[in-house]
Amino acid sequence: MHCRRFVTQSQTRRAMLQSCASGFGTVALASLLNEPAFGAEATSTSETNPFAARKPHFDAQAKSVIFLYMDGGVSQVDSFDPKPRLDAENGKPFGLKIEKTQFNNIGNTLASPWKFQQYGESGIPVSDLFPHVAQHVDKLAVVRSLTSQFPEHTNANYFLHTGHGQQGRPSMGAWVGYGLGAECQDLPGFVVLNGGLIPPGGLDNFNSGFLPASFQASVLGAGDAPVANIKRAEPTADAQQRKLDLMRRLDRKLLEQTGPVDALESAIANYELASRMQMAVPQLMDLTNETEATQKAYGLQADFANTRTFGRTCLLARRMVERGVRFIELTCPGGNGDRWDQHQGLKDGHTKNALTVDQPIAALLADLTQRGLLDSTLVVWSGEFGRTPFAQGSESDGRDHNPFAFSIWMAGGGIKGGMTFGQTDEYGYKCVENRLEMHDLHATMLHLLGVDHTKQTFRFSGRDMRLTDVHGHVVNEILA
Amino acid sequence: MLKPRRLLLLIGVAVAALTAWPRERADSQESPTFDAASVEFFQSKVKPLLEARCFECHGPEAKKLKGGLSLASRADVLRGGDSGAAIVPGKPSESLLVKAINYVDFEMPPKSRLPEGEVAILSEWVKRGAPWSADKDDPARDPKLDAFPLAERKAKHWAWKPIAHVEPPKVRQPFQIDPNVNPATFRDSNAIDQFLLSKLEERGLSHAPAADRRTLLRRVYFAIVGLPPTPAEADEFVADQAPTREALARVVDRLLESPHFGERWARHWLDLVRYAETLGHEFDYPLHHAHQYRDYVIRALNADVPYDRFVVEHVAGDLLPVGWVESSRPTNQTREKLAGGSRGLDPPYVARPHPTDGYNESLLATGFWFLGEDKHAPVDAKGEQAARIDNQLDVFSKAFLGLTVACARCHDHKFDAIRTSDYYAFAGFLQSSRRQTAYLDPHGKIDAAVAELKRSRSEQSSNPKIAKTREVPSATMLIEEFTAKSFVDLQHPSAERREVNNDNSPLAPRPSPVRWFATGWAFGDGPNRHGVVHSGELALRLRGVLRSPTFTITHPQILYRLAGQNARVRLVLDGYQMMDFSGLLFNGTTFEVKTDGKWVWHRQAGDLQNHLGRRAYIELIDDGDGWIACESIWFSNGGREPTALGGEVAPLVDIPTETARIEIPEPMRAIAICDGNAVNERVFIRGSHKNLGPEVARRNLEVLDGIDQTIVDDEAGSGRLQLALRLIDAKSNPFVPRVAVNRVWHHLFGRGIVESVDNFGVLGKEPTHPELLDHLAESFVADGWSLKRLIRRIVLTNAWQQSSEPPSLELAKKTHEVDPQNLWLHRAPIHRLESEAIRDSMLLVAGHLDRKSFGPSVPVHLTSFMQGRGRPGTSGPLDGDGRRSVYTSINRNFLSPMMLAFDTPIPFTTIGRRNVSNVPAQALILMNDPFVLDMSKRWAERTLKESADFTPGQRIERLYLDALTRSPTAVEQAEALAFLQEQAKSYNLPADGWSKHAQVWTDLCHVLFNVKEFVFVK
Repeated sequence: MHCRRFVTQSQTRRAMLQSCASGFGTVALASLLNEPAFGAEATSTSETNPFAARKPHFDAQAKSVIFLYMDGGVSQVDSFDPKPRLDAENGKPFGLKIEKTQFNNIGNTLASPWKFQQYGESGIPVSDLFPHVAQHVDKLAVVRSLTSQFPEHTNANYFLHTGHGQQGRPSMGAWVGYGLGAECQDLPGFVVLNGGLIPPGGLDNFNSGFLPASFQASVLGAGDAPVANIKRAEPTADAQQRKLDLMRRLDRKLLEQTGPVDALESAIANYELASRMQMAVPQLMDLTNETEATQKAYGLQADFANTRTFGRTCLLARRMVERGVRFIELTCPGGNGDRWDQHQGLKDGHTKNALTVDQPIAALLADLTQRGLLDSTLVVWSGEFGRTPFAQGSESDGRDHNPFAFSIWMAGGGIKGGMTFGQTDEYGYKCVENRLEMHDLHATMLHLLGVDHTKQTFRFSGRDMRLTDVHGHVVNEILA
Repeated sequence: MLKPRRLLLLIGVAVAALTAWPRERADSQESPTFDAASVEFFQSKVKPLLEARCFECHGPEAKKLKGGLSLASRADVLRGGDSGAAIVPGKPSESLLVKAINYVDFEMPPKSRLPEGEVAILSEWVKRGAPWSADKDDPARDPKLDAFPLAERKAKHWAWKPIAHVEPPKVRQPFQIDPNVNPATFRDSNAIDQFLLSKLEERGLSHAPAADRRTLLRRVYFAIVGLPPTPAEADEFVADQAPTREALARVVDRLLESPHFGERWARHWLDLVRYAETLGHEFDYPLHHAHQYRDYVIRALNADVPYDRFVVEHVAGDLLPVGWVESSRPTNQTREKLAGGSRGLDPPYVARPHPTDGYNESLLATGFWFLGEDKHAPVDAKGEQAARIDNQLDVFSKAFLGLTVACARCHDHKFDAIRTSDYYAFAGFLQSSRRQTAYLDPHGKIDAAVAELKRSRSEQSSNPKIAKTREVPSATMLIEEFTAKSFVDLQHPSAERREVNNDNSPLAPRPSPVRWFATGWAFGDGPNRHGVVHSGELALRLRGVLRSPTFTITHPQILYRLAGQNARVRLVLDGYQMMDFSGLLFNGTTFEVKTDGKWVWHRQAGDLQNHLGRRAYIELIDDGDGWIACESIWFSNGGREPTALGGEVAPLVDIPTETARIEIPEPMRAIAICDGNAVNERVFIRGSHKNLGPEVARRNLEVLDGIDQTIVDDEAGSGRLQLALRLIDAKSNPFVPRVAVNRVWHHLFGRGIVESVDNFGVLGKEPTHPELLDHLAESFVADGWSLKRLIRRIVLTNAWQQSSEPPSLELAKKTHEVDPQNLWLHRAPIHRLESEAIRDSMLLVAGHLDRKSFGPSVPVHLTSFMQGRGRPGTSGPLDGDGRRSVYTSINRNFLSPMMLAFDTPIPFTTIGRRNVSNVPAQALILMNDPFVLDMSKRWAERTLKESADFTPGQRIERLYLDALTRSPTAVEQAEALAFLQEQAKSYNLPADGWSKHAQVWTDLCHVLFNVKEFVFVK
């Protein structure tokens, strides 16, 4: 029998497999079959295996990311970027040169239906759309000068998620998993909590692109079986266990014949992970042991059904952070008009969308703070672009897409709170100060996780690909 | 055979000559002398500002000059960067630099606008003539620093070297394992072994012993047809008395003739062309008829179409003349002659008919150009076209050449001998081509019907009541002159093309004639005697499209003088086709024609005004039982129609009824490319379509064929065929054969000789066996580019037939030290099966495989996790109708989770080497997915039915043979039996009768699907 024949030589790899406590990401990393299927141990150290687990490039503030994705594009001038001039010129022809828009149906200047108030010690103005989040404004770095290169949803979504406007590149979460692995033994490292709306562009917003499938997001629904195929098919756990036992015995015999083949060994280990996941996911989703107060704070008892849905995903996000899930993205619930995409009915749509997310997000920030998790959790709130300060169409109360400037905020995980960064013109149309590219956002997020965005590369298509392509600068001004 | 069609047509639009790129400003301009005040102004105000705001990217110390622009000296400023001179002294409003700091056209500095005061200073400086300090020693940047080292790169990198002839090296070891086999029988395979053994011997290694027959058979089945052998097939092979290699050769020959060969290897190919059946983006609109391309690939592989022809058909299958005559293959000489730019096309290269249905098979290959993503309502249509062409060229250059030409879109290639101009030379071929829904004529029935219709018509006297009444419009009414054009049917290009002059119009001068292009049958042989194109003159049932030359939109409206019913017109702007799905931003570009038999003026306006300056062409579409007639097309600024021009311009011909008895079948449709007129592309500076550089002639890569190529001829259209013929010239271009044989090697050994199969460039991997690669490429070409024979040669090597298991502990230790990655193939690799092969195996084993080939795809099964816009209304069946995975539809935004989990690539670019990853989703699928459970159940039920009188032990053996091509060991038997009994007990089944219950057998079948031996091939 020669099953463990190479055991002395293959310590590095095996030790890494066992000790890196990396769960999905790195076990998968370490067990890719791209290399020859046998005898690869000796070379599979981190120097030669491009997929081997990597330490951060430097000490990281943030260990997890919660990305609150505001699908459709929140209007900056109605949320975090007040523009009195819009009130003054409401209904008048717009005062600046206008670029072509998605619907190219240009109306007049449109004032915000919401009032802004200053909050916190920082006195940062927030509109009446977000009274709850406003209470935490001293934790936020409000960036008013993010830009996109695309005025169309799908491209802008891909751009926001993958740093590139076309289908096929790895999502942020996949890059993070590729760079750092996960700290969780029994849950995926990159999870999308689907509130109901998969954004335009589809699941490829969350995919692993040219990175191995190991890094793609697991999409968790809010329903009974939150992960595909997570529910055991057998009537009893015993019946399944006997199957797995037999399978293991048969697999072991195969390994005895072939010797230690990485591919086989990791495929076997994969079942252990899958089994653990079968156990862990129901535990994760079971909110009954959360206190009444917590549930209430997150809005699980709110009158508005979408608040309850989003509240549940926010609470789940916190539970995932506690379990070491690396990258968690939340998508919006449906039924609030067309996402945040209010080409018309701005007041109604934005009101419902804000009602959906405001209380749960505020509760999440409070909860993370209270549990001491906010310092190690980067929370990012962003849509794919902003909205025009002028109306779409002559009699419309809606706004078209605006990629030239929009507001996002970040909190926790090494972010300096209570500040604004960047400025738009007097109408909130284009940036005039500290304009940021999407790549800058990505560079900064990676930086906060301890990853140098210029060094995290994957060779594909004749290039060393990066999340930030050949661009991106860390926005040092917003770091704590 | 169809005659080439010609048509005299009184419509057309002049193609505006592309304005010449302005000459670069001379940079030898002497620096004038400036007065002291100006110099002082520069020194105190301007220079500090430049240093503070600009020099980080454009200064003497800049790590890398951005945009090629240096502001370090006055000469540098005047020379400018990639976008031209930075300033025009004295003219701030014409100066790029001043525009940029005002955020017009460019936005500089990129992060934040300069304060107004600083903008004013720089404007003032330009206005004063850009004074510079007296000590003007700042040296201008040496242009040689930026010269592109093409020759050097070519000389340095292995892949540009021609294919070398290398004799197989002598080897010490006897590599013939079986002494009973005559070495001459396998001479070609032995040659490959010699190359491999020679490398092994250099390292003191040798091949592993041969794999046992059952392992070998399983391996060869998966390699060639992607399915496991049945127990009967395995028994037959084991029982074959001939030496293993001979017995295997017979199996290989049989499998290569199996229709499943094409299905297996087509899937490999589809990975290269980002094959999908929807268009992705926001709503995942359908890509109609895509499956015709998939079926083409399967048929082509099964027919062993020579690979060079396969390439030509992909690039220019639409341009191959139809002439269903078997012809000898072209010699290199004819090819050279052809590729040399002669305009005549009477080569032995003709289109290939479908083997049974006789339609133009070669045309289908060109569908690959259009299998990518497509986007509706792009705000920047030209930018979207640039993105599409980028993807097309990326796929084209990687799939066929193993080169990353698309890397040169924004700048000269960073590593390879490819210039930006090469990229735009290729882009011109696509600018000169269009997407078409091609009409195909199975069994030539439509052609026959058309011939009969014509005969029938000519027997009747021409209609006397139609008089020639066309009147010439008065010149004052004309917005732009339209001249007579000829057009040529793209599917049937003619060797000599007669230009038809129209002397009808007194309006002079006339630009040189530009062709219109027709496909299908409806538009007949040309305009009728009244100068009208008419798609209904022969029969309403005939389909056809007539396309104009490419022109530039110079006016906000277009007027059409037309009539018709159930027909359509499209104005295709910058190649934009998605108006069929969404009118947004392209309102009015397509319209229905329904005029109740009268001539009308149709005014096309809508969003056209937003597309001034764009390139466009017009399509007159008769795609149903209708007709369209068109007399003239005019540009308009919005004035009234020229109705006073003479009333009934050309009376409509009676719609024929007398020929109704002639049956005309519906044509088959396929997505394909077709030629337009020649349009060269201009360089997009830094990849931006808003910043145009010089025009580049269409040609092959400079590094292969030099800068002065005469391969295309503008009169002949795009020139894609000439390009294709240059590409397959293995003497000048080693890439096509090398890349092809390397891909085959990759699929058979799990790793290419060049591991980076899609990139033979500097950033790719070097070949492990360069001599072998050249040997394979050379023999591949010499053997008529036969993929099947190449596969056979490789599979019949001893190297391929080795065991994957280490022969002994001692040897294993040694080989592990010397060849840890098995680069030198000291044993066979172990592969995990691809997702399709896993699923197909389950279907086969379960007895549920429907072996039907071809046809529209089975809709993908939708799980509740597959959500989003464009989700199909209904889900496909869980079992995919039992069809092989290659026949399941591929919806870009709704990709099958099982396929994705096992690494079927996302269809966005060429993926010649799939990832092989390991995700819990794989285990969860095999453990719990309803499809796997369903197959387990079917397999168990089938087995019970087929082996009703078997003992449990015999039945266990049967399952093993089904799934793993081998019998269970005694221990495995015992364990399986114990497992069955345990399960039976837990289900409360009787101790003596449990073995008749499918439930317990389903459980065992399920376990066997989950064992690694099922999803791995040794």
